[in-house]
Order: sequence, then C-alpha cells, then structure tokens
Amino acid sequence: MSKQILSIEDLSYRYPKTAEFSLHDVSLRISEGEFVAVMGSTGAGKTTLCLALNGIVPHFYGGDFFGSVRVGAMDTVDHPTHELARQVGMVFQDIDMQLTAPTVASEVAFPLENLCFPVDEINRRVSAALEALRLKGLEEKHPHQLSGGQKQRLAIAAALAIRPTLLVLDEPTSQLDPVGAEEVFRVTRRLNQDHGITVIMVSHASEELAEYADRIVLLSRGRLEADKPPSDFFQDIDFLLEHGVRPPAVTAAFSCAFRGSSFPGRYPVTLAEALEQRASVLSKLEAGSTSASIADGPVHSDEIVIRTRDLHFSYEDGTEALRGLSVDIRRGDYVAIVGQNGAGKSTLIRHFVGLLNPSSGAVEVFDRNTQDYDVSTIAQRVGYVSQNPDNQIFTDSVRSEVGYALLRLGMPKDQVAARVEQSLEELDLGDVAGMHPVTLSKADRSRVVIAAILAMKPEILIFDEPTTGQDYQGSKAILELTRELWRAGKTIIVVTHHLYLLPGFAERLLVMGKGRLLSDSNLRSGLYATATLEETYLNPPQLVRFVESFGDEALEKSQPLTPDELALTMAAD
Amino acid sequence: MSTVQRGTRRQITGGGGAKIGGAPISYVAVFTAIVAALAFIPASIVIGSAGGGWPLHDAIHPLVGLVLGPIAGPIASIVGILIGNAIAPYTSLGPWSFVMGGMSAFAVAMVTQKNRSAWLLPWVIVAALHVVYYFQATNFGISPGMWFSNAFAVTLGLILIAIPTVRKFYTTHLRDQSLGWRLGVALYIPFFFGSVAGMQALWVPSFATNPWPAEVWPVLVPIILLERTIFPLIGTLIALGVIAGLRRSSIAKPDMASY
Repeated sequence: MSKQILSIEDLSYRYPKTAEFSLHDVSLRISEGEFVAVMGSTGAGKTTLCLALNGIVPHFYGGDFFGSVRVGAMDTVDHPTHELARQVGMVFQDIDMQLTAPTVASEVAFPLENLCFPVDEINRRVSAALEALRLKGLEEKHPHQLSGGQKQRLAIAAALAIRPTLLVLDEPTSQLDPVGAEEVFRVTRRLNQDHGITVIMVSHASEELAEYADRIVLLSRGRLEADKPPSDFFQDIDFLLEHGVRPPAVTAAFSCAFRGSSFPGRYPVTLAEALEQRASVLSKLEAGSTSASIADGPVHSDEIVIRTRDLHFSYEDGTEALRGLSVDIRRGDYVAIVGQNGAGKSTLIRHFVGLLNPSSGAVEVFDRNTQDYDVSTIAQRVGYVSQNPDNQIFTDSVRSEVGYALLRLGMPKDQVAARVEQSLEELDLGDVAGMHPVTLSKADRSRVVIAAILAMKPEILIFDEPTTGQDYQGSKAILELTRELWRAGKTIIVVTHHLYLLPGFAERLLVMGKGRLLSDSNLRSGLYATATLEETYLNPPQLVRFVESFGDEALEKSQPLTPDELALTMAAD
Repeated sequence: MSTVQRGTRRQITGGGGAKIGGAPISYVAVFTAIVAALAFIPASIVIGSAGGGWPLHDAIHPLVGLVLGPIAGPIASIVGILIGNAIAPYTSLGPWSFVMGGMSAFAVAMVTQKNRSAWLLPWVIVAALHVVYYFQATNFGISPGMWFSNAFAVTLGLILIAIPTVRKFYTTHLRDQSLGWRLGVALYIPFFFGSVAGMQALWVPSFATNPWPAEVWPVLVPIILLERTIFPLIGTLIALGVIAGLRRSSIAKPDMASY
C-alpha cells in the first residue's frame, strides 16, 4: 500500500472580513504517486484548498481555520510556510505573476537560494530541473522571452527544484494555447509516472483530466462533493453540470445520444474509449438520419464596419507579427479569431481599436482609416476587452471602475449610475461592487473590464481571450452575453484558444498562423478543417476528432459540433 | 447551511510565516524594494551639493511606518535607503541618510498606534533633537531667528501632535475605515509630523559632522517649508490608494499597522 502523504481532516476556513466559509469540513487523503485533479466552479474553494496545502492559508491571510492539514508528518498550522515549502511545490495560474528573476536559471535557483541551499547543490538542482522540464539551452533567456507553455514549465521547474513530495498546480493551463497546455499536461504526467511525484492539479480541462488523473475531486461552495476515478466521476452529467463542471465532449455526446435507452456499460470519458464503442454508435446511426438540422444565427447586414487591406505590422524588435492580412468584418458578424500563441491575433485586433498603426497597408473602421481617428474616439464605438484585465483597471472599486470611462466622457452622473448598475447586473458583479478590483480573482477582474466596456454601449465589441481563467459556467455566461449582444445587433469579435466553446456562438472562423490568415470560413467548416487548425498548432475539439477518427462517411458529412448535434445525428428519426 | 464546523478551531499564532515586528517579511521586502527603487528619482534639490538630488522615497517613509508598524517600518525604510544609496548615489543624502527614513517611519507608526501614549516617545525624541539642533546652530554662529525660520516646520509638527484634539481627529478617521478627503487630512497630519521628524533626525548628525555654512541658511528657509509641505502630500495621495486597496483585500494586516 502506498504511503499517505497528505491528510486533510475536517478542514474549514474563512478569510478575514468575510462572512462565508471558503472551505467547509473538507476531508481528503492522498497517497504517494497519485495524480489527483480538483474541479469545481469559480468560488468553489479550489485555490483556497491549494493555498492551505503549504500554509499560505492561514499564515499569510489569517482568518478562521478549523481542522487540520498534514503534509507528511507536518501540520500546516504548526509549521512555518518556509518549512512547508520544502515539501509542497506550488505553481499558480497567473504565469507572469510568479516569474520574478531576470533569467531562466536564476528563476529556478531563487527558491533554493531562499531555502539556503549550498551553491553547488543549487547548481546541480537547477540543471536537473531544467533537464526534466526540457528547458536546457534556455538558461540565460529572460523568462518573458519564453512562450506561454515554456513559462509554465519554468514555473514547474522552479517548484520541482526543491524536490517536493507534493506538486500543486492551480489552473496551470488556463492561460495557455492548446499546444502549451498539452506541453504542461504531458510533462506533469511524466513527472508523476516516471519520477513518482504526487500531483494535485486544479483544472477545468475535462478531456485531459479524464486521460491523466487517477482521481478527480469535486469542490462546490467549499464542500467536497465527489472523489472518484475519472471513469466514474464523469458518468453523472447532470450532477456535473449542476456543479459547473463540463464533462468531456464524448461523454456528453454519448449521454445525449443514449438518453432514455440502455447503453452497454459506462459512457466513455476519453477519445480512445469512445472509439472502442464503435458498435453502439453504428447501431444508433443506422436507426437515425444523418441530416441533423442546426440552427443558424440572425441575418446580418452587408455593411463593412472593419476592413484591413494588405496589413503588415512589425514590432520594434523586428518581429513581423502581421504579413499582408486582408479581411472584412460586416455589421452583425460574430467572428472568432483563432491561432497559436504568436499567430498575430492580438496584434490584429489592436489595429481595430487604433492601439497599433500598420507598418504598411491600411485598417478602416466605419469607413475611416484608423490613423485619422484618435483612440478615444474609436473607443466610443469599438469596445476592446484586453487579454490581461489588469491593463484596463484604474480605480479602487468595481463600481467606480465600471463607470470610469462614462464619467470621463462627461455623461451625467445619474445616467452613469444607471448604466453601471445594469452592467454590474449583466455580469453578476453586484456582490463585489464595493470591492477593490485587484482583490478579485482574474476571472472576476475580466468580468469587471467587460462590464466597464458594456456600459459604454459600443457598436463593435472585441474580446481578447475572454474565457481565459474562467470556469465552464463563467465561460458560457460570457459567451451567452456576447450572443445576446450579437442578437441585439452588435458586431462581436472574439479571440480564443477554446475552440470547443465556440459552437452555438460564433458564426465565422478566422484561423491565423504566423501573421497570416490561413482560412476564413463559417464555423462548422473551419472547425472541421483540421489540417488548417493543426498548421497553427490548434487541437480540433474532441468531438471533431471523434467524428474524424470514427471513419463513418455519414457522420463526417453531418459535421456535428456539439454533443447535442452528435446525439441528434445519431438518434434522429 | 450549517455554520457549525466539524474540525477543531486552530489558534493561528503567526509563527507560520517569518515576521518582523508583526509584519510578514514579504511585506517588509516589498516596501524595502519600493524605497530603494524611488531612490532613482530625484524629487528636489540639495543646496550646496554638487548636483545631487533629494530622493523621492522621502515621500513614502510615513506610509511605510503606517503599514508596517514601528519596528518593521523603520527597518524597511533604513534598508531601502541603504540599498538606494548604493544603486542611485546621485540622490544619496550622505552617510546619515538612513536616519531620516527610519525616524520618519517610526514617528508615524507611533503617533498612529492604538496605545494613546505611544505618540509621546517619538515626540520627546524629536523635541530633544530640536533643542540639540538649536544649540548646534547657535554655537556655529547662526542667529536664533534664522534657526527658527529653518526649523519652523519641525516646531509646527511638534505643536500639532501635542494637541489632543488633533490626535483624536486623525486617529478617529484612521480607525473608522472611511475613505475620501477626511482620511486624506487624517493621514496628512501624522505624515507631516513624520516628515519633519525624519528631517530633524537627519539634521543633527549631519550638522555635527558637516555643518552647512551660514550663507546657505536663508536659501533653505522656503525650500525646507515647501519640501516638508509637498512630500507628505505626495505620501498622502499614494497612501489613499494603497490603504483603499489594503482595506478591500483579504491579505493579512501587519500586527502593528495603523490603517
């Protein structure tokens, strides 16, 4: 029997100045070598649980702490954080917040220096950690010169260098593109399987966790609601959705397709398992039609509101970010722009709001060259929610932040107040309206920025990675809001890595790679153009991969994008 | 939902994280770094120096004391100044410069403590230094009137803090969690005292080792008044934002913080 290395007994915790407990009577035991995933919606207590594992909760925050957390033989309340840090390596969600040193090597050495290791030992461990995380050769690079996946691997290397018994990763992939995320999952699994490191990972990535985790723990409103292997955990779809967890696409599809009829055994939770159920799927397909009808969005006008012509842009360091890009966005479009990190997506949309000017070529917004506008004039008609919400937060309360731009525009205070309240309500921010934005989670800070932009009532709304760091419900809520705005006649542009979230929302897909437009098509064709997606290092959604791997012509022809559509295709009369 | 917790309540003794004078060491490190970084920015001139500038960190020592308390605050200020002197020597105020920041942070932390008598300690120290400086100056040939003109800001600070109603005003507004202009005024008074306390603490050893000539004294009169008025004002504006953020955050408050 494996040695138990983590024991949580009846843990309850409440932050100072708050009425509600973030964790309620949580009990959990983890044995050496396990890979345990923690899932749950925003506010479920996942991060607080992580922070309790190395004593940051309660030592840094204070508050009310009940029960116990023991890492090996150490009780986290009785031992200082710096002692616990030798046992528990932490990797946080916000990569840029945790990288502080000027070089990759010094970043990995930093925790060892703090723990007073001898220089020779530090050098040995830095070398070993960089080797394990495949960062050799990058020692002298500045961490901010690395890609997202490399940065997160660097953070893991820094945690790994102290040789912890427990590696805790709090949403390490939420801000990474699919390739970066896959890098992190792969390396974490290797550390777990080859090096025997016990891993606790908070994540919303259902498909990956189904494949990699030994157990999945569900937290909901601070309570531990489930603790099961993935094959059991994902079976009860309704229960998961009720707690804000998205099941793997294949599981959801099989659950929809076989609802009300008997399914032999358990629903598959991985792509491989789904493909093994070929016989069951074929029997359904034989019974059904392959012409699933899929509802389309409202008709939009032909008026072009944004036009780029042979757009080139190079940064000062010579990086060529856009290479001859020509695209038209029409009024009423709902456009998703996808591509790997560095594909030029953010650079492109910054041209739309005048934050960047072309090196050559032209960008026209409402038939005027953006270089003829000042940024504040464009901002009144084109709302831009940047990838990093902190770049757009200026004031010391959520309410004042939402009304900030309106007051600068000289709008009467009563009108500002009305618009602010409406925006707060739409983004469900009423409860935190009096709080300082910086004290909110990144997901909530993003919603504050979106609320501030919505209050301006722009005609075009541009969202740069709006679902990054959001849980499934939060992502859906934001996208549903964008859909409502679209239906109300707004033009919506969304940049995202989360392709699986787009069906039902976007109608048009622009795929970018290395500064070029690789394809411009409707969403369905775009997501099934897997070769194009792979050209820009994007993984097609699991459902698309299932349909393509399944090898059934009729199924491929119907091109389902959602579990419901697949089920409809399989079960339609 | 049940509010009775199954686990046993644990006493958090504060031993879990390293602390200095009740302030987490990470806070001390952050403020030390800020003080050091502000040494890069010259905010005023130093009369008689060879082109040196007065460092901007002079404005934030009162805030350091307010947030970290009377032990960690001076330590952060002193270490920050010493680092700042090394990395930005063009704003160094000489070998005694650390005394200024340390006293400034200490004075503010003490005059804003809950203990109603705590104000007396820095007040007595500053008053004593004030008297010592008087004798230093007059023995050097400076007239009492000229000394008074130069040191007027210190005298004013001592008088303000000695008035019970003034102390009650700012302590009340610091404690009632209010924000806005009242908090601004409530911060400015102890910050002004902290600023002049630091200045006075710097003068005595500096004058003892390198007395400034009589010709410089008249020029310093408006500069000293202006600086001691403006620096606490800058500190207050920064503090308003910092305190608003700290009060709305859930991070632990240092044991001897006064915000």
